[in-house]
Amino acid sequence: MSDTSRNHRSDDGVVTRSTKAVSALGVLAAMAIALLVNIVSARHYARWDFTTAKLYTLSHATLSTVRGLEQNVDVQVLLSASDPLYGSVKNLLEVIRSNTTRLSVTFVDPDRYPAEFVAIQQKYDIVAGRSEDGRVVTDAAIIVASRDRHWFITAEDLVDFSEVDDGRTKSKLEQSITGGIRAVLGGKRSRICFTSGHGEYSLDDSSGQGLGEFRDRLQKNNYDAETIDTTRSDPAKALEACDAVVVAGPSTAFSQTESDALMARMRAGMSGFFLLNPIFDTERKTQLPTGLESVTRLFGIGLANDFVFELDDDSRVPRGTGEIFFPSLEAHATTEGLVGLSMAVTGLRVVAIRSRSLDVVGDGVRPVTILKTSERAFGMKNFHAWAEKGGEPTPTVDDRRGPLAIGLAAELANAPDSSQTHGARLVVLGTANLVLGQNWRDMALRGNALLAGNIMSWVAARPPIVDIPAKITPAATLRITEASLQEIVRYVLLFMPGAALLIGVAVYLRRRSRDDRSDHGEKKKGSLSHDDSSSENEENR
Amino acid sequence: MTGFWPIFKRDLFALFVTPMAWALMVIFLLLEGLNFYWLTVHFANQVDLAVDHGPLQWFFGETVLFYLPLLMLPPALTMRSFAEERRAGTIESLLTAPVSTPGIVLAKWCASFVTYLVAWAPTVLYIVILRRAGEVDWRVVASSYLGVILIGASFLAIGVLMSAMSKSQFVAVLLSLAVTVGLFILGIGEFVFDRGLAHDICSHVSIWSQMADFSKGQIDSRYVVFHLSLIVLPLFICVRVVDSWRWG
Repeated sequence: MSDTSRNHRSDDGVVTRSTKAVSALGVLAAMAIALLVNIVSARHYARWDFTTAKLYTLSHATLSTVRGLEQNVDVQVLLSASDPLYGSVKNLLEVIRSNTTRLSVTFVDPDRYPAEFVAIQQKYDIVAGRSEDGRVVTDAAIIVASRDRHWFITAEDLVDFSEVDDGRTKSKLEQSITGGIRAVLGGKRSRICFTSGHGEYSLDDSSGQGLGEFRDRLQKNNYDAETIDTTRSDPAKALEACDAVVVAGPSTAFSQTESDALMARMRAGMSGFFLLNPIFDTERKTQLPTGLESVTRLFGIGLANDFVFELDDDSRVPRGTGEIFFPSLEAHATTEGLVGLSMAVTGLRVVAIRSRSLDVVGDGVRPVTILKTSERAFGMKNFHAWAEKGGEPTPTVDDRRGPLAIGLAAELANAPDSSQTHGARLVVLGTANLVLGQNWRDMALRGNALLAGNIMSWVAARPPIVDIPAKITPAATLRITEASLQEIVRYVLLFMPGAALLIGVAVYLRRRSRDDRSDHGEKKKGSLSHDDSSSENEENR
Repeated sequence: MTGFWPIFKRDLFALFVTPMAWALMVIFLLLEGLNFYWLTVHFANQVDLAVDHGPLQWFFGETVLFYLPLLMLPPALTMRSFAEERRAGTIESLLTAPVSTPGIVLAKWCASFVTYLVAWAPTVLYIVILRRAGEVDWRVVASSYLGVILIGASFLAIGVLMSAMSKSQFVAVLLSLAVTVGLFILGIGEFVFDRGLAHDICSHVSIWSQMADFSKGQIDSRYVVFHLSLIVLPLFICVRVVDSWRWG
């Protein structure tokens, strides 16, 4: 017995009660201290970023943004817990949250909380679909909101993935979230002007054939939408305060003065969204120019005086003669969420009704096609001749043959002294039905609504407010051939456990032989001692 | 800390000369090898869009094959610490030897900890293979192993305490498993409970979340403090338990 333990005993050898009590109290105190230390550490914690790319280290732009918040900002994450981006978003928001008390984060898993998700879906007009594995996928992955403003961040905004770059992923999480926070903080609202006086669809018409629904969506997205009549007042003055102009389905032509005023403003940086369906003079039975040809030509876009018929059965609705059809979409910022995987997930399609075709003209700006017909479509030049005759439309030698562009997007070079990060942008569609109220009411037309929203976001985009470089992470792909995979199997499942097994067997055998030897030695020793004792007995005898 | 080295060396030697340690090593390497093989097949065929979800994150905490050894190995390594000594009756000679109780407890914990590290050491070869087939951020590897070490060290401390509290190795391993697996299951509550106290408690102890952070190169002071307290507290209680034997 050690000295220490002896000290705990009383004279009669019994441990004192007080020693036991002190010991028990010590254990309880240690438990309490451990609990307190954990509670304090949970409230005041630090996170260290060990990644080489400093994935979780906030940039100065983010830190200054979140630390300087003067109003509360709500971040709603609409990602399913099984979404590959969920963990990354959660981590980053945790780091951001540790720098401000003004930011509240809510995770609404569409799979776990469908009712809550539907409420948000309706409040913010979010489109959702299901992926192959059953997950709910939305066009808005994160909503940043503050007071009456909100900002959508899509999955595409969060990460860049390049197969050609060896499967390398570039994180844009911080850039997107900080951009979203800054977007909802104060500042000027973009002003969108809708022209009137040429028979355009009305902004005040809330029916399915008006722009009321579109106006509501724009206002929800932090834009100011208003009507300007360029025929009555000085068009240059009317356009002065506009950040972007929308021409929605005119039925009469614009005057030269109006056209010049538009061109001057667009040269100065104003962007535009023109929905120019064919215009007919029913008396003269001819197709009229829009008067905006010189404006669109500035962006390399030509307006064909034709009427598009889609003859491909897969790309048109069964009824009618092909004037209502499903144009295909090309990858562009305006078609995000509608092309590739997104389209397969949501099943949304764009429906075009009564369209003209568009051209790429000039050698300057090269517009990008965003909507086009099938190869079997054609643009009828003499619509009235066919209308009088009736029957199935058939292309003649004068008609334009598909595939025809019915949506083009272009961007002017930025002026050298401009503070903007990009020049004026213009999207021209050969059809006007994309912005009508029915698109937000009929689920079958939600593709149109989504495209119209995307176009407006691209056209009226304010200059990026944060400049945080994308963070490059190690490539997630492994360059492994079938042969090297077999080699890996041999190493990790055969050689490494096998080596441990062999060492174990060797240790066992060595120990056994040592035990045998010691047993043998003890027996020998035992027999020797037996001999010794016999001789001793003999001696005693 | 009197008598630490002799007991540490004796226990370490005892662990490695028994076939059981090697049998555990074989099972451990088979499970981790299988885990590694699956991840190579997965990432050779496809990639995830997440910016911080690669082969390393998969290996360190995405599959049950990682957690199985993490939960099973410490109880198996520590079950003999005191229970076997008590069963064989050698504890009496240890207690009467001129060694301090903290020395005995720490020596036994350190011996099992070194064995635990030796078991994990071959897995560095997996990372070397990954480096040859793709890209590896070695700083993230370091933080991942820090997670493995911290979790292992705390589970070993629990295992040593449980071994001291029972006379049978079998009971010791069962008690250790009950605590470590219980802790793991409690952590899963993070995904069950909505935001609130229960959620916060579960996420604080969640081994899953902790490894998810460590494997992404993030070291959180909360997790470090949690595991340090989970090492110190059981070892302190263990010292008091062993002391109580001395008092009789």
